[in-house]
Amino acid sequence: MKKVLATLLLSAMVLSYGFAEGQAEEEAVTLTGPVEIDVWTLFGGGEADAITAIIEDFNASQDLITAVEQRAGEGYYKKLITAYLGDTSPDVAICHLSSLPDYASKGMFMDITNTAPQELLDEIQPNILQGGYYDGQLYAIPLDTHPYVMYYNKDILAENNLDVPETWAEFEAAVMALRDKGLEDVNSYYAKGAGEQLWWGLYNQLGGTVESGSELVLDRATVLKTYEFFQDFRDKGIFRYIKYGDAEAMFLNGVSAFHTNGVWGQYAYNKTEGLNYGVTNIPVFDGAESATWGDSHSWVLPKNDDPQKVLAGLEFIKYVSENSVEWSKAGHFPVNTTVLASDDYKALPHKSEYAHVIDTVTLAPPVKGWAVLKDKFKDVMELFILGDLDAQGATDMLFEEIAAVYE
Amino acid sequence: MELNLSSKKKQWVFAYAMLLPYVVVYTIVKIYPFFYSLVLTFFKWDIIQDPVFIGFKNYAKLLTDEKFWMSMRNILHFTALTAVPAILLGLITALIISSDIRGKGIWRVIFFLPYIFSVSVVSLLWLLMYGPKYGLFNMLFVKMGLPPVEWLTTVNMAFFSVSIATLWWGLGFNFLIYLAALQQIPKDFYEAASIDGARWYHRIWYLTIPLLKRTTLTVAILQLIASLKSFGQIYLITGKGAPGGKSKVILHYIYEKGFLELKMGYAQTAAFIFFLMVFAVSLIQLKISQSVEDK
Repeated sequence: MKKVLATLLLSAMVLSYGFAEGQAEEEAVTLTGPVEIDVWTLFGGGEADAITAIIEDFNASQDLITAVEQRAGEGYYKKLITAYLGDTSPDVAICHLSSLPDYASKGMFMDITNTAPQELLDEIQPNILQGGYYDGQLYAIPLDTHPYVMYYNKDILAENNLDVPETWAEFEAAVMALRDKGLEDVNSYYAKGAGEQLWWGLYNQLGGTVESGSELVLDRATVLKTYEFFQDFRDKGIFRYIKYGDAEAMFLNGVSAFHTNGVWGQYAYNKTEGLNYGVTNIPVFDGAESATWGDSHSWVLPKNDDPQKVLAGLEFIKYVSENSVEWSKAGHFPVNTTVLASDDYKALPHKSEYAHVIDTVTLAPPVKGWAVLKDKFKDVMELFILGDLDAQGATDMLFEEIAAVYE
Repeated sequence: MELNLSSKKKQWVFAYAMLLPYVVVYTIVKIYPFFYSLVLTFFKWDIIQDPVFIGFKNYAKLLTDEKFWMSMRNILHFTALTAVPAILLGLITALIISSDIRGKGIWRVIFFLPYIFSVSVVSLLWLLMYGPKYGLFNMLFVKMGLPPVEWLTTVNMAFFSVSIATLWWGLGFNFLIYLAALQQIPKDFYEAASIDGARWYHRIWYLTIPLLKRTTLTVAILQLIASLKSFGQIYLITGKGAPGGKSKVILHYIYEKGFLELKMGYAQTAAFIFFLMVFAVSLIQLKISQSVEDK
């Protein structure tokens, strides 16, 4: 009996010692040795070059962490899932905030509510950081936001003594005035894409709500109102069916006076000689609050059981955020408020013209399936702009499509 | 080691041993996934979490899924537009090359070259030509005083436009098979026919076409399956099924359900029903070809 007691006591001591050790370790994790982290990005073209340059700067700035970038581009999220299933997830990865609920809800990313450095979170633009939360927990730290904005050709407006329209009524008047002067393609935009990007801004300007929950529940009356607005502009020939490439060509070649697209468009516009353009928020309905669609490239940490790599990943994310002036040159909107307020950033072309837009960005709601839903929104808009649907028909189709996604 | 086997048995063992590597690989990459996907049709599965058994629910839902049937109708529409023209064009181009035409080498390159391009190259090329405003065709039309054509904005026109691109792209394959078959027909047949007073069209109708019967059957089976399996160029040229997703074909539908919506079990069910359809078509063709060969 004595022996048994002694053994029990001993094991209890050993266990409690081990437990205390473990706890102490958890509290005191610091970055010790050299760590290599895998970083997955999904960018192409100028964006890819910009992020690679920042990653190289990060590696040169210190000796402890080496970030190895993998450009996972096309089919990105499928690769992310496959890597997760094969237990070969990267340590840090980009994820669009609009897609976050799909993966966070399946447990693919780490909950970083308690590990993310507070001093970094304090720097991030609040309405964008909000999108990094799912179900009350933080899963993503935004790198940027890329809202939908309005570009205008300064030369065309000046020649015709027109001001930049603030409201949709003013926008209509300006388009009509230009058309009366014989200009045909006054307004260019990617018609199908407007089904998500322009439409979502208008839905929010009109006070449309989204019920809380993991499925998208919209308010039918407001949806109908948005399509009625589109119908009015479609019937007046202001919104026509234009493909992305054509819309970009129209603005780049100085054909269209107004052009709506995401902030990323600037990357090409800035390189176009002779294009004298300005950029501001999309027009607003009379008396409504400004709102526009925006998404965000954010950093997530796929499941990782190595605390060193988690720490290194967060350190990396912090560095990139603090050095996102370079990133903004590729066209995106940094969300680090210190960067936004810096002279370096403000000195970049056009940035101060639309600085106010960031406060009006309305991210996709935290529902599952946005990546699928947005394609449905675009399908509805394409049929609608082509004249196959009226406002009521578009509303009905949209609700049917949403219901089908959640079946 | 001396095995006490008859020489015939030895031959069998040797033959099976030679077949083994292929059978093993084929089982792992084809047979096993096929049965695994068949099992999955009874499950709800998002790839990431564990599959949940739901019995015949996927089948029941699919039968009333309008989008599924629309994509089935679309692929039949596309197959009707492409299969027969593709076979005819293959034959005609092969006949042209086998005739006494000048510059055979150049023609051969012209007919075969598109076949080596990848689907994205072909799609991009035709997209540039079909552009509504700045596309090559419409710019030419407008220059000539004609109204621009809406190449891709109605379902019928979209299928017509993609079919033209597909025929141009896939021509080389059928052309090559017919060319090889034509070269096997002895010249004496034609000489004899000529002496008997047969004109060139008599020779084609009464000699060439009947002698190519077997080749035509092979080409027809391959072409029909190829048309039914079309996806890439339709997806890319219509821009995910324009207008408004109405030109989606069955493989596009399966891809979307499986890899975008992560409804794997449902996508497998659609794939299985599509497989049954292609299988039935192939069986019918096989029967026909057997009866032709029996004659």
